[in-house]
Amino acid sequence: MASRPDRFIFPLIAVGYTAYLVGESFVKHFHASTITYGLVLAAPIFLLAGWVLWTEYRGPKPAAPGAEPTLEASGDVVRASRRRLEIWPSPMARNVMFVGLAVCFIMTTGVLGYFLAFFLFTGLSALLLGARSPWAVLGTALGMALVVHFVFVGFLGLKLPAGLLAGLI
Amino acid sequence: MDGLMLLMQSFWLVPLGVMVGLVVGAIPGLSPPNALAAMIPVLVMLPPEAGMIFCVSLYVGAEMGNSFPAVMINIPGTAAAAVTALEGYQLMKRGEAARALGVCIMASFIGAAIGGIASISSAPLLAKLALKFSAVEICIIIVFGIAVIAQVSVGGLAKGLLAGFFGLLLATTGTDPLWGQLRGTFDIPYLFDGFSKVAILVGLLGFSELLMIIERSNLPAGAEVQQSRGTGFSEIAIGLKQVLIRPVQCLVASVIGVAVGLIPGAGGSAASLVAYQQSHAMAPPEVKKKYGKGAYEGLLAADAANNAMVGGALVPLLTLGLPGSATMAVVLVMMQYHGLEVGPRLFDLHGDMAYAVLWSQFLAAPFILVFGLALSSVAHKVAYVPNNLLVPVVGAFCIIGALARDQYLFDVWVMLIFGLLGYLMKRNGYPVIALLLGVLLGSYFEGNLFRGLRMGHGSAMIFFERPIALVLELLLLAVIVAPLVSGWKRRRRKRAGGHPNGDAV
Repeated sequence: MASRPDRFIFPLIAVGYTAYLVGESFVKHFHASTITYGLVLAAPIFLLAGWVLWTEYRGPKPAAPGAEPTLEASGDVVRASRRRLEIWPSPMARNVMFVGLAVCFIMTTGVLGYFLAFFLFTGLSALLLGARSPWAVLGTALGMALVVHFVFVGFLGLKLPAGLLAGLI
Repeated sequence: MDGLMLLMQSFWLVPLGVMVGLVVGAIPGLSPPNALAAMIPVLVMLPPEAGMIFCVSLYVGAEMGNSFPAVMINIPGTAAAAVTALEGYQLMKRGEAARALGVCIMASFIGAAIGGIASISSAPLLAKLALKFSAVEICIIIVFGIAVIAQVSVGGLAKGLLAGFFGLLLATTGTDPLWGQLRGTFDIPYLFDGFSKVAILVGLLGFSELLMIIERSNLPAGAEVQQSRGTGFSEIAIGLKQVLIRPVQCLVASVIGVAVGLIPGAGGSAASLVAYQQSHAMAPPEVKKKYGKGAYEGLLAADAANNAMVGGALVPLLTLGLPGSATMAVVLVMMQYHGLEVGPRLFDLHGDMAYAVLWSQFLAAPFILVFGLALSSVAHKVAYVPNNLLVPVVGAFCIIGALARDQYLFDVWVMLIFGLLGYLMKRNGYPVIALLLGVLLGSYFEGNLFRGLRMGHGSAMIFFERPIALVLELLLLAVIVAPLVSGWKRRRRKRAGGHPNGDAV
């Protein structure tokens, strides 16, 4: 299996964030015990990250896509078909778009309001992932928006912005 | 008795949880921790014992529900049912699908009942023992829990420990509990109280799994869904009987499930694999030949173990505050959300609640039998919920989960970031649960560490002077060193030209 460049990202994130926290504790003159605790955690992180980066650089054995390494994974999980996702051939492109939709949701909820934001997020995600039946897409999107409205906002009392539909819902 | 009385007030949640769990377990791609993470906004609104009872009931139901698609279409509902697929699908191909489902249902019922008995009887004893644990021992237990998870992770010990320690470091974000200094907040007011644990949980377990599902869904053309077969009740009854005439195998598998569940981080897949291997080892030669081709013994071992595991996983959570599995990590988040005493004092301060949760697992067992039998005829159909509708709905629930606590959009960003982090980790063999445990237990670890140092008047020697602490440290050392030694031996055998694994399994 070809090696992937993303195998270095997590240890680099760990090292970078640790270095930031330790540096901050010195720059802001934290109490000695706080600095010491930070160093106690930083030392194994630096050592382990260094070891992992070294082993990945020397002989990467990237995990198969979908291999969750802890406790809920097994070796040969054979999946028979679900319906093929037909719009995007590249799984990475689908993932990027799905995350992009989530980002758009966050950025627009304040303006659009929760009902429209959830409706659009669910509907557009379903279309992105290859749902073709307009009734299925509309039904799922509307159903999700209604569940949020009645269960979470109405029954559980979450205070979410109504946005463009203020006064109507 | 108080626990049972408390359970009766929320008893309606037991069958509801089992029912939802059956559906969740039956849908490949949805697992109990993912589903619970998405349901967190609802669960935290319930009284604490009600939320916990629902979680446990859902977990029990899911460990049964995961068998349905495993048997009918060779797709395990969760990874814990991988062994079920191995044997059950072969039985289906022989036209014995109904019998296989009957075996799964009865084995799950017996496993859940034994797991419940084991947890009810052992938890109070363990709680008394746990009270002897001071701040020093608790610190070591937390590191031990992370090390065990790291050790069983596919990516290896180093990756597991890195994830765990990074989680402990992330938990320092926010206000220093001793001196009130702001750590790692980037001057963002939303971080003054630290990261939202619910948002992290939902992101790491829920959102990251959606990204994995999207990535995995690009299947090669030509993959076919197998025809499902009819399921008559008389055939199912034959399957039920197959378990009842093998009580010893069922009991052994259940005990293995409880034991594996006690190990923090082990989970259902480890329990079912170990039980399956043991049943194979114990089987007479003529039965051994059937393994892999549809052996009732293998099937019942796997299903009994992965249900009994639930009872085992409850014990470290309720007695030591250490979640025994990812699902128990969700329960831990709920306990922390409600301000419950996490750790050995739970039985002292909220004993009725702890017993209510323990009893719920035992009482959920008969509902597995009832609902399992009722659903067996339509079980396979739930596996056909298409991903392109499932993923957006679960994604929306992840967003609402992040918003549930404080309704800050910032928490949705946190959920998204940890979702991406979790996705990267899963792609590259890092155990997400180790990071999650570090985050959840980090402040607990820090508080106990400083308390321990104060007990030792500032000297770290206190960590080497207490007998229980020494035993735990030796176990910790064994957990860390053992895989290194076995790896070295394997490499030495390989260099010498032998089989790298020595004895084949």
